[in-house]
Amino acid sequence: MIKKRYINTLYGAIFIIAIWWLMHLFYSSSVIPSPYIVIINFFKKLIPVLLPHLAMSLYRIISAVLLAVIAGISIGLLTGINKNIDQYISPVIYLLYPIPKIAFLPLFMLLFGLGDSSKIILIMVIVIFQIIVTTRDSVKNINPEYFYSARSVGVKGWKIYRHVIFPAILPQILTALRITVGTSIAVLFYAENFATQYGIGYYIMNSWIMVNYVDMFTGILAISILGLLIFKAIDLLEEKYCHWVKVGTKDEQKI
Amino acid sequence: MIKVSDLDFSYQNEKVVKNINFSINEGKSLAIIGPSGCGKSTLIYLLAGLLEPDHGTIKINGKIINNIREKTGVILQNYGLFPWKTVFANVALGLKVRDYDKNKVNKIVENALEKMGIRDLSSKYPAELSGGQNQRVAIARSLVLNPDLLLMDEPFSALDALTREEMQNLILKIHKENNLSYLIVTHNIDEAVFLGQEIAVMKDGEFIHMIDNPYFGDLKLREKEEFFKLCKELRVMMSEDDLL
Repeated sequence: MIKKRYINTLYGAIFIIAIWWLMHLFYSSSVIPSPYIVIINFFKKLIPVLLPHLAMSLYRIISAVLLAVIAGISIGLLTGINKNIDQYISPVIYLLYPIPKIAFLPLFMLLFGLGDSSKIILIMVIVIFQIIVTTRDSVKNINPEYFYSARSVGVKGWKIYRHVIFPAILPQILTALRITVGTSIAVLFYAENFATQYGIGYYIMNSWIMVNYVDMFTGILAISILGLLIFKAIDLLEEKYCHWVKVGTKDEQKI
Repeated sequence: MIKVSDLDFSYQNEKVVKNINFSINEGKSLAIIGPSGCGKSTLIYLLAGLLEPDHGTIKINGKIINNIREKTGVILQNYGLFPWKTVFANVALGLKVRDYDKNKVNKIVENALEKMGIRDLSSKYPAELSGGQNQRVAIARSLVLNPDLLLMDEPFSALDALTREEMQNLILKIHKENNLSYLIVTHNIDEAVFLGQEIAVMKDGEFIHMIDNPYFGDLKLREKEEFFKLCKELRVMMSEDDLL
């Protein structure tokens, strides 16, 4: 199972590199450097140059996602469980949800400073809506029989969250996270173009300005691997805590 | 053991349980039969303390029920098992939330699984099991808390006929071994006659008949003439009341 996934990843990588290489041959311009040169450059610069940039980006993304998850789940639970609160909060969320929050970066920089805070808050604000809406809807969709069942064996208070609510909503939250991670990396790339000298987004744009396309592609490769690693981390969480979602969908299920 | 007096319950404005009165002595059983939507499931939820009556009282061993009672086991219609917990974790839940010692939990749960013949399924998830196996898990889950009363809400309705009989036999066996009182809600005439020492016919939230079943308790009852006779009697009675 896990082995098969590695083979899939490897196949995907080979396919993408092949297309990249064909484009390199077709355009025969320095704008698309050969994958070979980029990969060599990547390994050469990984530790001395790329790692500090990647670490900074990872720090921003993880802080933003963690804050969004904690705040988003809390708000989602409140609105999902309490109809009165839902009545007042949901209309506001619906209005704010489709607004392109990315346009608020200048405002955030004025309010929260030019440093990391404004970037982290921007990513958080974008991710949080997905988490709130997913949590709220998942909580509302929990089969009421689960609550009766839990109470009938004496589960009460916060233990209801631990044994019923959290495990029931976790698969949907991880799916929501997976969807928002792509967005959050794009936002990170944008945000790192302003008022910073560290971060993989800065590295890519800086290489572009310096007309160093090999470095620029190396940066793109690095940010892609970063995204892939975050995806895989979510996969691992899913494997560990939501294994039950997959069982029973296999052939071994009895009728 | 159980004494129910003048019980009423409404969902919104619809009265679903009306003026129910009955009592069950210790070690006895009652089968409640009626069509879908007659209020029989609600009655089970009320007896389990999962819902609060609008009017009337439920007393178990002299104590008024207004919350969950530890010694009452409940088996819900769809087994009530959590798909995110393994068989072991499902069965252990009631003990775990009562902060039982871990070794003790393991021992009790393994014992219960052994008794139900599902010990080898311990690390499986409910979705990997058949209906009958899940039903055994649900029974094991209620039994670990060592109940003196078992409430069952159409527990076998999703099972095929053979598995259903097997589970009915199992309940009867447990009842005899542990002097366990139970209440079973069903819409199946055979089941009511096989498992009810007394049989209550329910219509529109009310008990309209209460029948004594002198043949109760015989594991071979289904093969006997009396069984068919009582089934027929019940069937005629229900059809006269437009329940069939």
